[in-house]
Amino acid sequence: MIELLTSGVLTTVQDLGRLTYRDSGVPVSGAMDTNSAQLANRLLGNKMNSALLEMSLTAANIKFHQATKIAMTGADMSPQLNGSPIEMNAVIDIQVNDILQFGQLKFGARCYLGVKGGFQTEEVLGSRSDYVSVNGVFKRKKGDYLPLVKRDPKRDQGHILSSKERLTNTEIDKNDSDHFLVKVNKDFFESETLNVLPGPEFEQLPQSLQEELLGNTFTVSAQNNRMAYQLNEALHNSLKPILTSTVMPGTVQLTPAGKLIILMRDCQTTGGYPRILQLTESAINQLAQKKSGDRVSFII
Amino acid sequence: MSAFNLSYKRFGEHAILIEWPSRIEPDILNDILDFKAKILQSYLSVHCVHAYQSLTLFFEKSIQFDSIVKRLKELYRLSSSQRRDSNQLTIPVCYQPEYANDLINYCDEVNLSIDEVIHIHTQKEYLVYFIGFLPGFLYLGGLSEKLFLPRKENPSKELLAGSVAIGGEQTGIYPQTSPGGWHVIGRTPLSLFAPDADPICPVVAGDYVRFVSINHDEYQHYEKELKQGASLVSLGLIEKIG
Repeated sequence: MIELLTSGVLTTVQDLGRLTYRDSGVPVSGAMDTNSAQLANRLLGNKMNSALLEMSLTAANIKFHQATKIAMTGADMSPQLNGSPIEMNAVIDIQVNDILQFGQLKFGARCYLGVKGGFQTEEVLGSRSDYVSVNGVFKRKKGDYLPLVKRDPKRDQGHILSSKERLTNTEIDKNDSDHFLVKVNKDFFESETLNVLPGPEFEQLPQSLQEELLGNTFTVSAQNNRMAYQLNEALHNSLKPILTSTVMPGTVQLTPAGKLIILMRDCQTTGGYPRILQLTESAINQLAQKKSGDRVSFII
Repeated sequence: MSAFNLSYKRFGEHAILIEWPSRIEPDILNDILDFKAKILQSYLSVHCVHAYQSLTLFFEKSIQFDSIVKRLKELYRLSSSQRRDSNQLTIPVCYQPEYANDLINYCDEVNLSIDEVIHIHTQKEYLVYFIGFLPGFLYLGGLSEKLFLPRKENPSKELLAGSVAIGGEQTGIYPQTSPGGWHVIGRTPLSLFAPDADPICPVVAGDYVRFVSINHDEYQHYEKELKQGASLVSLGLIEKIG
């Protein structure tokens, strides 16, 4: 078990979400930055869909009630184990009663705590991702206990990755047989450019608006959460409304009032606003690490 | 059937969007569901999600767009496959102000009495076009024009689960407590979404729903039965129709 000593701003259990219940109106959910989440699981030798703790902006302090191994990826929130700083993107041994605390957010917005074997909270509709109308959990709080797999730490060898493996946001060098270095690709966190594809209604935008959309830099507004990121700048338009249609994480909607809304992992499955762009999976992960005030631009 | 001129577009890296003419029509829905059935029976490994005039195919990996579209066009031309009979779900609704915050105001705005609203709302069956927006939220077709009322300018903070409401030209049921801009005219004790039930939604696209008016006692009765695990079939609320 682990115990949350503090709540953090938004602490939830996430895996890769629910991909086959969209036709019942169930959002995909899952880790906002799947790249960082999968990195943590790879480092630990976990299945890719193992559940992790996703922590946004301010992380939850944690007490471990059993031995295990952990890996922290994504945003750097200055993790400390029993008072000493520990490395991000590395496998760390945990003993009973160890305490993980966090401090200053150095970059990014969401960090992932992976544990050996993944968190063992209840699976609902094939996933452990927290989503209130599916598993009843809006967010995890101070005093919550989360179950882990009971494992014998002596049996765990860790996961040895080949030196040629690359992930989108990191490079991995093989050092010796049981230890490797992961260098974070800072560009992933700092780049403002989001790769996109045209959305279903992109062609309905007049040429001038297409140019404005692709030529300008926008800023993330304070209205940003797991459902959607709104941008501050308006794109005035006279697009016709569309009949309610399917949307997905990464769909960029343009409202009649000119608001740009980028749907994220907890978004509803249908929407009535024109869909002008569609972020690539990689771009969704990048955007997930952005905060209010950060700049973005779109490139097709 | 297969009589429509369809467009095929890429939708992100892993999905294809197939679009029909932009109208809300039972014939279009039937064609969509027909095509969906053919696709699911083919070798293609996809998750299909449809809406009023579209079918989105979600693939697990990056796709060869051109070759898949070629295959899809061939499938569309095949004769229709057998689809299962439709079900009709009866939804008992208590149309009383204690169960519906907006009922009195709504009647005022559409210039009808409560009894008239009940009569019109319960008069006919509604076609389930698709499920979206929230888990278990049914998009229903067939609402009478007399009951149309634009959504509220300022959405309410909390519409209780089971709220039966009207927004614009649509009627529906809120499966979970949530904020919303529709006008609540009644409430049902039925659950439209239960993740631990099988199936998780009692109806699918192509089925029909019918509303019936119940009083406070009957509401309490249904609520009690459902809590004790009574099935919709045993309560006589769901039946096959042709």
